[in-house]
Amino acid sequence: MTFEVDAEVLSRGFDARITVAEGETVALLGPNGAGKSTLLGLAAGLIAPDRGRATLGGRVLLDVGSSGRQVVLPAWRRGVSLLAQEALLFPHLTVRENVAFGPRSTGASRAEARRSADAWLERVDATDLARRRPAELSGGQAQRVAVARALATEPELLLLDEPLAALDVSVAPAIRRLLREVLQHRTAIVVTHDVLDAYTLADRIVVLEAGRVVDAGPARAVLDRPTTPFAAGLAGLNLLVGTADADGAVVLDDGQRLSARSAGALEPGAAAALAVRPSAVRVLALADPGHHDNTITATVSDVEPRGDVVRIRAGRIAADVTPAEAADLDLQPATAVHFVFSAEDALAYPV
Amino acid sequence: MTAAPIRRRPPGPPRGRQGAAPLGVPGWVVALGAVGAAFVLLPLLAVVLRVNWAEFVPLVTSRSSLDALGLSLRTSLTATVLCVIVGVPMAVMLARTDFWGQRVLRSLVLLPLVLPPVVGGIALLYTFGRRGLLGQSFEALGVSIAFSTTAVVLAQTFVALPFLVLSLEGALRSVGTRFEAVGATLGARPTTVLRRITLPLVLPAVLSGAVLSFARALGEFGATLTFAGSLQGVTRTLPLEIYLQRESDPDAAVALSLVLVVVAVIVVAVAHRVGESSGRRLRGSGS
Repeated sequence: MTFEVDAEVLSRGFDARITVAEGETVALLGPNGAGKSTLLGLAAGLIAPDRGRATLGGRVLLDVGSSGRQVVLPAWRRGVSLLAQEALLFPHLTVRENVAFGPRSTGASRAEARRSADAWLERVDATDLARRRPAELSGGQAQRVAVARALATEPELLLLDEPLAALDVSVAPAIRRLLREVLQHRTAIVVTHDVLDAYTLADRIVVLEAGRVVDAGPARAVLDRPTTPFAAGLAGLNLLVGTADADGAVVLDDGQRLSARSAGALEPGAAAALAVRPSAVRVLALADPGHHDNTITATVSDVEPRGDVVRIRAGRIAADVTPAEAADLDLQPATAVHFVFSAEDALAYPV
Repeated sequence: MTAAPIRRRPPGPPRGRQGAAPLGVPGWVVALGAVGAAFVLLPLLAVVLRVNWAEFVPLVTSRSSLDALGLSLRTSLTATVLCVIVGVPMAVMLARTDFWGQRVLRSLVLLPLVLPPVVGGIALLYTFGRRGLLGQSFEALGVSIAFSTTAVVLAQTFVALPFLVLSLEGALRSVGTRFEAVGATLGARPTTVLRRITLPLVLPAVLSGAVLSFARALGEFGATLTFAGSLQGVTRTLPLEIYLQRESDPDAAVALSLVLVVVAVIVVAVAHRVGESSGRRLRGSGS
């Protein structure tokens, strides 16, 4: 079932168009307040747009403001399941009754609903929890049951709103594996802040910023060759944007020329970006010139210890150095230093 | 890593006395509190002390007493049922929808809580009475409401309804709509969501609201007297009987008062118990 939405919610500054192909899982990334939850709310029928249209497998879920015809299908008639950060199991029902709730509500007989609940509990490896109450479950167990409950209605579209965010780091991997398994060949949208989720769960990534789609594509393309600071930040890359010159180098706004291993198709004069890992960038004292492929001279703005490395930020570039190096160079905010990296470690591509 | 079930405790201070460090309540607060408690408890004690125990059983089992007690229980139960039937939808409407004039409506609906019951009785009289707003139409159909048992029930419902609406609306708001939203995305239509999710979640509030309504109905006096009169076996409920006996047979009045006190104590205890045990069931801390 292909899902298509193109909608505007004025009060939230949201105006985006997103398509999810049949059987495809799309990861929705973006900073807080970018409109990720708004999009899920629109799809699930919990938010009404000021203008917009959404279809799921040819069925019109909503059609507002385009042709005088007003359709806003209520949530319960959409065939769209929502799995949230918290499991939100109904506290007054047992685990089995929770999972059977969907089938029962959509017309299955008591016995059918129970059978399908048991089948789904087995699928998520929670059969032995069937008779418990939600208050007796751990966070990971509850989320397993919530997955079974969301899928037991056989939704045409599954929405996942940061499904792992509230879980203990020790149980998240198991639930991630479970999701990966159940998301195969399923039309789904998963909102996440975690690059690992995007890589493991999604076929495609959509990046939202301030209510607009700013980047979209296969996970590797978006994260290895980011075009927005947000995507670069997620992928943990330095992103330097400028113009390509005739030699395949990237010229920044201030005239700085950077060379890189080209990802091809750089057209002279066209906008181009260069990505380099902070761990591939070295920091040298001003008095230490030497010859390097790329040198950016900048004033340190931020020194942030990160476990076994120290991240040195200076405006648009960041480098990871060892604590010993940071101490030797006496790196403090307002110190001017050289950031150097080799062309071999950098990737240039058109944007 | 085995995922052991974690029994979660509701947030808030630890229950029981363990770990309750003395925070130093000022002495004068304790003194004033004690005065307040005495003010509530002493009159109850006074009633108990004044009871003529030798005559107690004959007094409360006299014909007129039993009539009044039976009528009171019947009408109060009926009023409670009416309160639940219309009060639950009212609370849902106030807590879950948004409409023009909602705030004003909420204030007006709670008015019987602060209105002198006599005024309520007069208002009912001019609504359902022989010449009342609706009473004329009923009269044309051959139905006369004022000064009948029906009037007693209406008077009690009028004064008791806000208790149920108030406590249920608060519970609905604190439960929130998240579970209902999940239910809807699982394909449950609004009636199913209400029946299988919303109402079970607020059941403790429905029950304790109903118990409070019942208590208020049982104690109703002013509106009943004004709107329904005082006819033995028809409209003379227990409070009216007590007021009447006070003149002619003070011992009977005291004995019946004690009966009402006992009923009230039971009602309060039940309301408490219901609220606590259901809350514990949902939070699952079964210690």
